[in-house]
Amino acid sequence: MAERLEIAVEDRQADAGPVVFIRVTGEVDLANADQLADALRGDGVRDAAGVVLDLRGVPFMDSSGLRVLLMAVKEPAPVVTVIAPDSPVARLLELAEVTDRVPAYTDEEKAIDGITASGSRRDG
Amino acid sequence: MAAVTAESPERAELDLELPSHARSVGLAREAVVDLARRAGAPVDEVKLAVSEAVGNAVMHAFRDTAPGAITLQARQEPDRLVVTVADDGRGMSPNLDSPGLGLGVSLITRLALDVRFDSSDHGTTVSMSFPATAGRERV
Repeated sequence: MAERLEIAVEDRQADAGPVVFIRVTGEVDLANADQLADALRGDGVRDAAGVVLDLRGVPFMDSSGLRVLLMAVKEPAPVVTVIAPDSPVARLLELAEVTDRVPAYTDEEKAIDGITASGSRRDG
Repeated sequence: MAAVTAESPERAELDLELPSHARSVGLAREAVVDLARRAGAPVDEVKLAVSEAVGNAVMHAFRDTAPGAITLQARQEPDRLVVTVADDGRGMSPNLDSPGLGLGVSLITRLALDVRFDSSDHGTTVSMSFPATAGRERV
C-alpha cells in the first residue's frame, strides 16, 4: 500500500554540470504522487543540468506517477533521466508506450550519460 | 472500510467498500493481490488495473458532489479472475480541468483480457477480467 514516499536528494557534479540525484523508495500512486512532483520542483533542480530520478526502490507505480514523469520530461530544462532496470516502473513505461520520452536506464552512469547526450543535442 | 471476503477451496471472492479517498487506491490494490495470486492471475497486471480504476473513481466520480463509495469486487471463475470497480458518482464525463482519465483507461484496456465500462448519472462500473490458471486445474 502506498504510504509516504521516502525521498533522498543529493547534489553531484557531472561532466554535463550540476546534477540532482533523487532516490525514491515506496509505491507511487494517487495518494503520494504529489510528493514526487514536489521533489522534481525542489531546491537546486531548476539550476541543474540534469536530474537523475532513481526509481529502483519503487516496486509499484501507476499513471499518477507516470503523469509526474511525463510532466517533468516535458520541461525544457533540466534534463530528467530515470533509473528503473527491469522493474514494474520500466514495465509501466513500456505499457504506456512512452519509453521514447522517458527512457529507463539501468544504472547511474548510463543515466548521467543520458543527461550529457540530451544536453549535447539541445546545445547542438 | 467494510470488507467481506468469502473463501472456499473451490472459489474465492472479494467484496470491499471503500471511501472516495486517495488512500483507497492502495487499500484496493492490497486487497486484490492475494486473490489474484491464488487464482493464478497475473498479479502485477491486476494490481495496476485496479489501481487505475479506483484512482479514476476517486479523481473523477465525485467531482463537484459529496464523496461517495467505491466498491471493489473480485471473483474467481474457472479460467479467469473477474474484477469490478464501481462507484455511485456522477458517471464518466469530460473534465478539462482535471485531465488524466484517458491514460488510466488506456492502461486498463491494455492490461485486462477484456474490459467493459458502464456509466450513467448514477455512477460508473468498470468490469475487467484476467486469465487465471488456478481455477482451470480444478475443473
